[in-house]
Amino acid sequence: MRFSIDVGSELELKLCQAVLLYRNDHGNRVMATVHGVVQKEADGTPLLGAGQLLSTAALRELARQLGTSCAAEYLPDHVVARTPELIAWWTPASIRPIFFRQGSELASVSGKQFPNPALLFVVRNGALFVRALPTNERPQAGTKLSAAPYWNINGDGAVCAGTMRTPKSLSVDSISAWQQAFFQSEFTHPGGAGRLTRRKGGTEALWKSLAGKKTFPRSVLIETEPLHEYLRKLEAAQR
Amino acid sequence: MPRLATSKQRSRTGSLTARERRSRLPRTGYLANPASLIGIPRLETAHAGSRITFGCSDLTALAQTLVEIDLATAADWIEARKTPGGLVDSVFRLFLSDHGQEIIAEHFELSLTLGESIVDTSYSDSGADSSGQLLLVLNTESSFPLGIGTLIEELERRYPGMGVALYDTLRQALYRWIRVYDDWDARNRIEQIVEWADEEEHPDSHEIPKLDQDLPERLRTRIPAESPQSLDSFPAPTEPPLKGVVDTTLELHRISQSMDRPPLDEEWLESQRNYHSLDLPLPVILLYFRPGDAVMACFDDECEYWGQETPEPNLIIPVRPTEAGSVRQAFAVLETLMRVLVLTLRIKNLIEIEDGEKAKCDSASTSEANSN
Repeated sequence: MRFSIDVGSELELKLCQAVLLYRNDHGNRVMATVHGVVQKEADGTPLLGAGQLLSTAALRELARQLGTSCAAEYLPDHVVARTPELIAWWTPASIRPIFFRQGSELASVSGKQFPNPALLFVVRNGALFVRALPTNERPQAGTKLSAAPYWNINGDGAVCAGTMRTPKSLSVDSISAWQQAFFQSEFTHPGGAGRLTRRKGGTEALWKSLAGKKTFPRSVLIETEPLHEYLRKLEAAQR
Repeated sequence: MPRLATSKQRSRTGSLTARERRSRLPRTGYLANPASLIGIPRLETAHAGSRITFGCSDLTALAQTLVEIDLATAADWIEARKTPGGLVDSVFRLFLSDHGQEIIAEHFELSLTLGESIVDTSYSDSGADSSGQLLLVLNTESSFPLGIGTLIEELERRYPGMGVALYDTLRQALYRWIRVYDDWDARNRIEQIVEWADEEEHPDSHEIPKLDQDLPERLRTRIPAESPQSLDSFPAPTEPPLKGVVDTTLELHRISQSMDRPPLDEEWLESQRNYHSLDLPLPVILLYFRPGDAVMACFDDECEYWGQETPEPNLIIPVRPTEAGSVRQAFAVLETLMRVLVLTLRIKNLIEIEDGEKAKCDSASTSEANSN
């Protein structure tokens, strides 16, 4: 019988540099020096070498090593914004199956084909956010977004992942996997964050009425904020 | 004028006024204490490096609980290089080793994984969130064959009903903990094959295993509704190998029943089955009657399709790492499982001895008959 552990991961890290911060009594003057590790004593105690004033270039390198950079990659047309921590893209309106949890109010229509509005997806720090788009075209910075009227979505568009299998990476290549994770997972419950649609009866009535239909009625969408404001809000909220 | 001349002279030699110095150096430059740039701050040994666990505080909690319930000591912690994963790993390995892992590994291809999901989590992001629960999952990569036909017939010959009672007892005891492929599975498979054959143009082209003719007679003729007689109600056989098999099967039954399988939230399990499209667990044991019989044929036919979907684990043991009772219970369950497997191996050995002796007797009878 083989035994293994599949929980988290472990890394062995060794001290290679140290940053020392100095500040005056008033707290208005600061200096930073960076030191290499020059030698170790017999007992393994590390010693720091001579320091150098910390330069912008060194800070940039440190930030890169700490994983705040993103590799240069080709951005296809549907990518709307990209930073090391965030990627946003849009998808045109589509007809696709949607799954609802067995035993839920929408179980009777689970797996049927539904029209979906054009959507904006944003992944930030491993979390997925979704907004609906008013028109079936690439949104501009000032395009007013709408709440995505799906279950498992909060008022700010955050998707409650539940058992959704989400990709680990944040890259252009992972976009299709994120979308797949969203559409192929079961929607289990309403988001519980106020109104997400103008449709009388809320999202439940909306999706029941849309099963098998060809077009998503834009009139049921509730307008929220412009795209640039939404992206800024997401960045600020999780900083 | 002389003062001016003096001043100019000084400036040429590089002795600048304070005002000039500030304007030519970066803002931080005049703040720097040169001594700090060449000073060597002294650190402690612990600053040399660290092993860092990412992604799950549950493992750390489990390591702590293992120490609290005396399954690990401070020395183990140091031995494990002070890493939660190392400590947990060493405790489990020692426990398994103390409970027959070596002999089990010789015959079974089992894997026990401590994780956060019942399937491989390499695709999903476990993140840093703690769910407060870990899962020990048991999977198998092959099925251990246990032939029992000759034993059933031998017992039936001596004590009618006892062979079937042993078969039922053994099957039930094993099934409490692991999946067993037996004549019931074979019967279901045959029904399926017949159904497929009926849908095709030439149903006769399908080779359908003949299960009934391969069943020991008593099994073939028993009435389905008949409630089986319990194994311990029969007189114990006196012949050593047979007695050993019966005693060990009764012991296996007792151990198997001594503990319940860990309860799981059915709704959660069902959602996992749906979400991961889980297939039935792969059988740990193939219980057949004789080599090449219908049970084996159905098993061979069916196993070609296994692996297309992820199988459900044979056993799932939830562990709440912060709760000593839950961790103890998990080890108790594991111990029961190990004992069940070890006893199964003992039964197989005894059956082989019994089969060997019977073969010798048969051979002697044949020789005697021939000489007559």
